[in-house]
Amino acid sequence: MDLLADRVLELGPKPAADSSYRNFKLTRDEDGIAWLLFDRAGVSANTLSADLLEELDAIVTALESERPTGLVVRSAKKSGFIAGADVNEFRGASEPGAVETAIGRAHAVIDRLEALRVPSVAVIHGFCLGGGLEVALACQMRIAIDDARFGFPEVMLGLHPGLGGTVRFTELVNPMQAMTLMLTGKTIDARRAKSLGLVDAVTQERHVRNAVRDAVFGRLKRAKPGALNSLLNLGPVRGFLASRMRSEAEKAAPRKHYPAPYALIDLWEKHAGNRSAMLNAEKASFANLMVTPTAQNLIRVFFLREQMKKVAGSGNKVAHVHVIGAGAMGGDIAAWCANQDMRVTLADMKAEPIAGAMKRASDLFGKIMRKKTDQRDALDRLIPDMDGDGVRNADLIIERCRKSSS
Amino acid sequence: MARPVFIVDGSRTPFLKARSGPGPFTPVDLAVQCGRPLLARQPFAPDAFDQVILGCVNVIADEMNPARVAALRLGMGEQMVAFTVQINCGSGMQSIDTGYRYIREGISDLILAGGAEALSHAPLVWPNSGVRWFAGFAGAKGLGAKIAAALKVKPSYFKPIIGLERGLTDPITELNMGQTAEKVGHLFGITRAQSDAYAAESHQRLAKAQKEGFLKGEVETAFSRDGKFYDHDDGVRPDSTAETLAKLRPVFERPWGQVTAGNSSQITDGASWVILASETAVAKHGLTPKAVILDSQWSALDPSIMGLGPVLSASALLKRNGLTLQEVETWELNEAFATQVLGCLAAWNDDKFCREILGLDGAAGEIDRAKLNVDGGAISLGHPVGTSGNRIVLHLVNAMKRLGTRRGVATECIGGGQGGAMLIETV
Repeated sequence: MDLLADRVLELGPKPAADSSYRNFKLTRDEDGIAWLLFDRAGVSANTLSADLLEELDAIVTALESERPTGLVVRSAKKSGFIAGADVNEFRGASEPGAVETAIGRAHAVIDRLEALRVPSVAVIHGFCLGGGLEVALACQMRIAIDDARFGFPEVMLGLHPGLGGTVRFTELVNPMQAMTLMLTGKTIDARRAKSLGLVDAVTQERHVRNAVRDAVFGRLKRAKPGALNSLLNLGPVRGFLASRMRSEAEKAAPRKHYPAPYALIDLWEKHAGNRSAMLNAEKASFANLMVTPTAQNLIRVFFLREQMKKVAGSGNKVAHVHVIGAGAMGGDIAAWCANQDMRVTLADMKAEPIAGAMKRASDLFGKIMRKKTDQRDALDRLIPDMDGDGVRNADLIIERCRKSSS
Repeated sequence: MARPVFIVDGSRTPFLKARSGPGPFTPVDLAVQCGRPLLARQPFAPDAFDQVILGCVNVIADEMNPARVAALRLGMGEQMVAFTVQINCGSGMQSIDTGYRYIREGISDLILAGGAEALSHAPLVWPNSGVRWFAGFAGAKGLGAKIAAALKVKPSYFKPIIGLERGLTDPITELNMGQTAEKVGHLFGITRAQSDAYAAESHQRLAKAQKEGFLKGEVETAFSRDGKFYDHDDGVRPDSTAETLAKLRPVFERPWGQVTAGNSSQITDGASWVILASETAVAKHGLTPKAVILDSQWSALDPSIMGLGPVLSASALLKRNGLTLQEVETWELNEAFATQVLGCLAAWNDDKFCREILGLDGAAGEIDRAKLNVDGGAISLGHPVGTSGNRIVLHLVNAMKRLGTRRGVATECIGGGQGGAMLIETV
């Protein structure tokens, strides 16, 4: 029910109306735990910008001088934790030195957050990507809500993580897994994050208060880095693994056009196990990548795509799509729409093509959806329509274009 | 003030004969399969209904209150009230009857009433002795106690009981449903040859209906996840004749009984829905009523002759409405067993029975076979118990529209010793 929507996120004590921060809310609860809420002004999703990090720096200073019993770091946005860095600030970078200076300032803030001498716990819902995940990694503990998704998508922009992520992620998680995630840019769900040891617990909003209290007061069972991690981070082992990673990367993205994966592998091979060296090297490597034509082009494409999403999102919401023709293309369009939460009537005079489309949809949903109930619901939304009845109530009608030789 | 209640539309799945193991659909899957095309062809949105009522006898553990699960899966909205009703073989008609009363009394205007049953999903049940052993084993603390508990096991604990067989046995008289049909047949002198001839005709009538397209608009093709589709009632055997059926051996009372697998209804999966509407809903959404429900009646009798239930309920229904047997132009009398259907017809023709049991002045008379189960019935289609009562109402409406008749009765016998009947008129 919409009426209750505002109560869904557990955000600690109600913040005062006159917050002294633009992009944050900071409160303390009855246990003396500080709730630091990311709430970037004027937007619906949090991203990390220079001014936001500057403000975070001031908050960390305040927390250092008046230390709470514990610190909760989470987002006040319904959309999720932090979607990553503010990519706007990457546009048009041409001078590696300037980038390195800027990223150095950001590093300092994150390092200070990590060094805070209070138990700190990130509570993560929704997307926690790139720079957002790096903020979470700077906390001592991480609690994920069921719907959380984690990932380092930097590689899609021709970059690698640049806010200490290459260091903290490979320390915490089996480096083979960590490197694979950073090299592919894939996201993982909360359950997988737990099994990797990236988060200490997975829970639901209704248990956040209790979970936070347990975390701050040392009662939370922590995810332990596997014994294998330090072994895999040893020099000779790294050399062997790194060459394997390079040959894998070569298959997907040749070095000549996509330097980022190779820069990331080099970084890890040369510096893993030596924290300060790796942190420094990460800044320089990140700055070098940022000014490459590859990164700048991919960033441009990123903005084009965002714009297109906005255009697509601004129209009326389509709730019911009617697809005419259950052949390969029609069936797949129908399955895609059902996957996007739309009601789809898939019309065909014959049962055979519809049956084939249902099987393909069922196979697809089985692959992309973990929960059996999600698969069932998506299949329920995909309605075979042998009489073409769906057309009368549809918001959008898609008729397959036939290839014609005439 | 009683308001008229209209049947405006309806649909069902093909009835799928239980073969080996569970079929492709659960009860709710079936309800969703035929509910989706039905809702898609309405001029109103699925959340326009006031409530959903579903008959289901063998509810599976994953689908408690299948009516509500079906309503949500059909996209009818979180605010859709939905409940499940159960009166054994009359459940699918009980859902219509309940909806009819809500609308008649002015409480609701638009109701989706159905029946769903997947007999092929009836569970195997472990014997109680085995369940008790497992509870003791699971509760034992410590290795020694565990081993001691494990050693008490007996092979008989693991002999499963077929849940369906239990469900088809009357718990009071301990008679299987087939045996109750044998008893009715005996009381009215029904012969094996008559039963087989009736059964063969049921198959031929359904085969003709399928061939002529009489079921179009009523039966909606069902699609399973593995890419198969089901577009017709697959228990039909058009080549069945009285001669071929005569070769089958009795299954319930060997060796001399007359009820065989061939002249009994089939074990089947299927679901059916009808849409009930008030005058207000008809006007609001611009619907075209097909029929109006005039009255309904439930009756009860000795469970060991439950097959005569239709005679009691339909007779009471006609009496209250001042009608004779002959004034009903089209009949759907659920074919639980050929012997039982013929027993009902014989009872209506039995002077003593009609006088003493039904309180009539004499025999009610014949029902012309041409008016009865015109497109086959449960013997050829199958009898998904919670669904059949709904199907016979739905099909009665469609058959009367096709035949141009006005007044019809749908009635069924109910395991446990009851009968249900509904009087409808086409509009």
